Amino acid sequence: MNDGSAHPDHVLERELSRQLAPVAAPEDLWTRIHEPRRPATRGIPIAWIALPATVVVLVAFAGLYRNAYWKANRAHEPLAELPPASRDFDFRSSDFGAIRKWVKAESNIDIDLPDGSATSASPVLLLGVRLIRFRGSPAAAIEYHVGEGAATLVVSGKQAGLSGNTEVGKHLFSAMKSAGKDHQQLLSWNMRNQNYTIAYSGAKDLGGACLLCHANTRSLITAN
Amino acid sequence: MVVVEQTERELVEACRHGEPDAFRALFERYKDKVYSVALRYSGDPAIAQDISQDTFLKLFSVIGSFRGESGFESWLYRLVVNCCFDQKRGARRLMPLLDEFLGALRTPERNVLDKVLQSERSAQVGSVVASLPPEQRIVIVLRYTQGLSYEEIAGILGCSTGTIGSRLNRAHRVIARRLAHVAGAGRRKA
Repeated sequence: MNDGSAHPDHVLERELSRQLAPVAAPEDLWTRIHEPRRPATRGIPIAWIALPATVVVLVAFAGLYRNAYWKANRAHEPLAELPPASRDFDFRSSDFGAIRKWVKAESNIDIDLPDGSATSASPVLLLGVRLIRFRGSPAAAIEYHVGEGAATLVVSGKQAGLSGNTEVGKHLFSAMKSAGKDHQQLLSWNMRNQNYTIAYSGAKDLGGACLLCHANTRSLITAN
Repeated sequence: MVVVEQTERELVEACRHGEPDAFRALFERYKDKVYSVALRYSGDPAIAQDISQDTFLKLFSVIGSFRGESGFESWLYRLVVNCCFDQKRGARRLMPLLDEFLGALRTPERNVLDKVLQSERSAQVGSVVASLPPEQRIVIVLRYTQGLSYEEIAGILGCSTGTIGSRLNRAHRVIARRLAHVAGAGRRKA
């Protein structure tokens, strides 16, 4: 093609198909994904990056330290804010689907648990749900029993929780924040723009509370 | 050795259950498509690798939310497109085009002139495509790199087929005009 304006569309289309043809991905792409790491930008002297990077790292460390200090001092606060175990439900049901539907209709909060989550798992007994305000945001508090333990899952807007973790999947569990007070234990994480907090009163294993969502993935649970 | 080919649905399901082998298999199946879109959109192999990396990391972290309401491939394309759009336009560099050109010069083949001409043409097209607005550029890439239909592109981008046709049409006109300009400049230089 020597002069694009003189060619009919199909010639241009043929040219584009040829020049924009698919290519093979580089061999090391999996390594980058498996061990996520950005290569240093080519063509820029390292010194140009080093100084600003050092400043950023120092500022980040200061921020992290401050954040960790803040969290450490606040870790137990939500325990007091979580609703006490109660039989006064706004909606009583042992069917998670029905609870989810009701909560969505009443509060527009979508409790997005993984498929196969658990409601049919024998140790989990759903009791019901209440609509509350949790750390200043509307929230749904689902109460359930796991064996001998009582648990409450609070799902609320983004601002309401403890941690800023946004990972999903098995990494979630290693990044969860937990705090213990007496026999109560707490997990909190962010997922899909909502904050999830579990308070669990079982004496043995905090992971038991996770059976609500992860009846089939217990081995993933590392927090205890 | 018996190789059991997993269907796409089985692979996705296995990924949803966190099976590492399934992630790798899914990556192997789609890496070229993802990288091709990223490269043709960005015009830069380094940026394309960043986009591909972001896409697969995103894919692996949100695959649990894939409900199967649309096809998996369309869903994956949506992730790539979003990662492409997230890349800063200012980050685009034209040096790889020069690299490609010089690479062709270094190619130890007899018809090196053909290779150079082809490479130059490819660089011109890549450069013109890379200069398009993102919404036109992505349509061009999905159409000509992946060979998708108007309907498929419309589904991925969430707009009507009429919009896709209109964007393609505008992009064609711009590309034709700019390539003609480049060719004209080349002839004047010669």
